[in-house]
Amino acid sequence: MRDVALVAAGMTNFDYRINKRAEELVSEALLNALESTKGLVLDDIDALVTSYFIDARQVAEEWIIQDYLGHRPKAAFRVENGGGSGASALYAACSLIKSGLSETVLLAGWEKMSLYRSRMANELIARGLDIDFDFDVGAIYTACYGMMAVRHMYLYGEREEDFARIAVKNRNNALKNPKGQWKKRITVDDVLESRLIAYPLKVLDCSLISDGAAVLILSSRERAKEITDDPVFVEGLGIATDTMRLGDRVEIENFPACRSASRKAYRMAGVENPVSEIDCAEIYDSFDTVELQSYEDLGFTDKGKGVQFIEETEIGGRLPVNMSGGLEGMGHPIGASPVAEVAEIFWQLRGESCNQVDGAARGLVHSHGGVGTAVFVGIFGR
Amino acid sequence: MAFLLEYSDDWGMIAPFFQGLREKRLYGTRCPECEKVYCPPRAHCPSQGCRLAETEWIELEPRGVLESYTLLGLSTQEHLDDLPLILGLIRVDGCSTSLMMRLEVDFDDLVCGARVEVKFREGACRMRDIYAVLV
Repeated sequence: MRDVALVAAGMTNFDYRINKRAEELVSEALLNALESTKGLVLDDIDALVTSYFIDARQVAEEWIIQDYLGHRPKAAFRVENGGGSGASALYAACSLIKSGLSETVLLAGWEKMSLYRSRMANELIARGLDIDFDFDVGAIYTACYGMMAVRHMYLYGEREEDFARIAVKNRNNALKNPKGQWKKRITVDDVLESRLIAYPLKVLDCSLISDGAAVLILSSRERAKEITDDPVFVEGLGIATDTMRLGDRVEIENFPACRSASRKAYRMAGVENPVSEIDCAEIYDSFDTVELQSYEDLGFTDKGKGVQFIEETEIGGRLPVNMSGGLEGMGHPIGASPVAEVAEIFWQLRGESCNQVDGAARGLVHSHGGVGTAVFVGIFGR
Repeated sequence: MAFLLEYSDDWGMIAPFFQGLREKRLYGTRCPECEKVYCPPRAHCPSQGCRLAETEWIELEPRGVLESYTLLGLSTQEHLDDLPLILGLIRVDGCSTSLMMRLEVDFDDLVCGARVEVKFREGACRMRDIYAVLV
């Protein structure tokens, strides 16, 4: 199968972008991506893969996007996989190129969450729980992640302060990201004193409600030379799945699907020891607890040892994580978030990040939907 | 306008579970191939090798183990008046899966592994109408 190159990435500022519609945000991100290419124009793109999550005010929103970009009559479709939609869309885009069906693909992800109050956004997302069981008793996603964290704390003894250190790291990383939403330096005490959502998760342990769009342009290795002198290559991809309901699992303190997805990606990329062979990572910190659990499931450290690994994930540590600020700091417009995670790794490997890891040559992106119901891991290299 | 966001119930083959709640009985389903017991019930067994075998209904003792729990400061619209709300995952004795349900307990008394008993409100027909207490 053919190699897949990332040839351009672009994104909008993540924030409450009330003055732009979704299609206007996607256009802004796309123009940002095209700037860095050797004159690539939209006519050169032969397929569009799109990603957004919330079907509420407008459904089939992808049709507005393809129409607005003037993409017709070329192939376009949406990929939906919960919070991991953007990552699954990348998987589909890579498949198009690997198979030879397409030569140059545009991947666009977006979400406009300011259309809903944060309480309503939580409700719309909660409808991704089983409506007749977990949703019916009043659960929101935060409740499920809270229960996962409580079980992890019971088995391995973490304290709320431990998770808070991750929230502090990510939000303070976002201060260097001009496109990030979080603008205020915080401390562990700020996290601990913030409002309870679902024990042990407080507001500052959770990701943000955001508007924004992010795009990637992918091509075959051959085509990449005409578009950029500095491509990044997709070295490994893995998607793995788990039960929809958390209670249907044997193991609720970690993410078995993350272990499966990462091993698939590592095998494809030839990675044997992730900590020594990967230079930086973006982990889907929908909640800071997920980042800690994922250190273990990605094999960065042993199960139950996540806390000891936190210091290694600072810039300058053995494996920096969420240089962009992550979903807690950069922001979390759901359909765009995984795309923006990949964009950050793209910029890191080209030496262009606002929070650069020296000499980064290989990066990892982790993303998931549901309660770890569909997990994606991608490995990218120079 | 009022009909816009109203939905019909969609209980399909697991309707006996919800009918059981009204009689204050807890039902699960058992796979005839691998003998796993599901609660929440599944009409077909997803285990490898069972080829989606149709399961059989069995009555369960309304007791089990608390796998985990949380205290909610935020919930969905229909449950906002019930805040703060405690939810837990209950592995009913003999089952290989856990039910998420409300707990009527003092949060500070909770610990993973605690024994619990499931209680039913009068006229129960949905998951929100049952809850667990510590025993």
